[in-house]
Amino acid sequence: MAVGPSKQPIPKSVLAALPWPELVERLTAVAQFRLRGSVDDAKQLAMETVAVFLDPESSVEWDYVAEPDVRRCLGSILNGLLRNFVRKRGNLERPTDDKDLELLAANSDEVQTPEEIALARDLFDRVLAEVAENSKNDAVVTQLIPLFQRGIMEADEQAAELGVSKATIYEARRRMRDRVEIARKNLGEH
Amino acid sequence: MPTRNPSQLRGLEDLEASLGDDMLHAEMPIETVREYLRLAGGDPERIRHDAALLVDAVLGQSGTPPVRTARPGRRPSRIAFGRMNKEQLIRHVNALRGNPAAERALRSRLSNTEPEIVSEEELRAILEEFQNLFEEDEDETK
Repeated sequence: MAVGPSKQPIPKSVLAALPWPELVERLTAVAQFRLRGSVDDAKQLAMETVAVFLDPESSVEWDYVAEPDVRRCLGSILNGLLRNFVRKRGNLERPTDDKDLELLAANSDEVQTPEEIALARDLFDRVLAEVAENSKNDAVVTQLIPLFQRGIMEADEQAAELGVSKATIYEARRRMRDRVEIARKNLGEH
Repeated sequence: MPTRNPSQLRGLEDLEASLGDDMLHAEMPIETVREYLRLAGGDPERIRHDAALLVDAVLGQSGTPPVRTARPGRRPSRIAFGRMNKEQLIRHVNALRGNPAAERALRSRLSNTEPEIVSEEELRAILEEFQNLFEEDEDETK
């Protein structure tokens, strides 16, 4: 199992009391949005997140006293699994020879070339431009876009910047998420 | 996801990570999440069901780990709780029962299977064998 504060075991009662079915639903939705692939893959990754968390030999730490909400911890595990999944999928799609495999083994870190960074930023700008176009009548989303461009990603910070409630921000981010998906499709990106 | 310097932004990846993470937060109503899953072709009820089985199995509150049947056209089914290899299976089943004899039996049984993925047929046989062994142990302790 994940370990608690000072690497002490987490009581089973604490683990059993967590709303696991709902957590897995949420993890599946996060994975689905990030992968834009099959829900089965997303669900497998969500279940794997829980399996990693509950693995008896897991080295994951969750300070359930200081931070009773387990979501951040699970989200972090899922992000790692997603990165691995996407990397493996990318590697499978590329023709590989021995030299490629050696390079992959030597470069396990995700290092983007300047060209890849420029392409990623270009796609980011084009998607946001289309989202902005489709959000002309949506005042909150219109104000959120420049915040994202400035790197202000947290809902808390966005709520403070715009002087609106967190609930308003989350609802606007949900609309924005839908529009990002549409923009991606319109731009031929999947 | 914390504030980033704009020059450190990885573009759409950061934006989507941030927007996607919203569905994990309590502020996002679970009904909104379920609607998203349905639109994506998922079955929230099935996900809840499988998640409950997994956690019950691992925390030792019910019986054997769940298995699932492969959909047509897909490769043989995997254990429902992820792409689990033999070592993980052993650890989970062992954690479920806390039974060293069963672990030894499982290790021996698994030595004849495919290196990583355990097929559904193999898994059923393993679990059946494990269950019998566990019941034998229970009989002996009575």
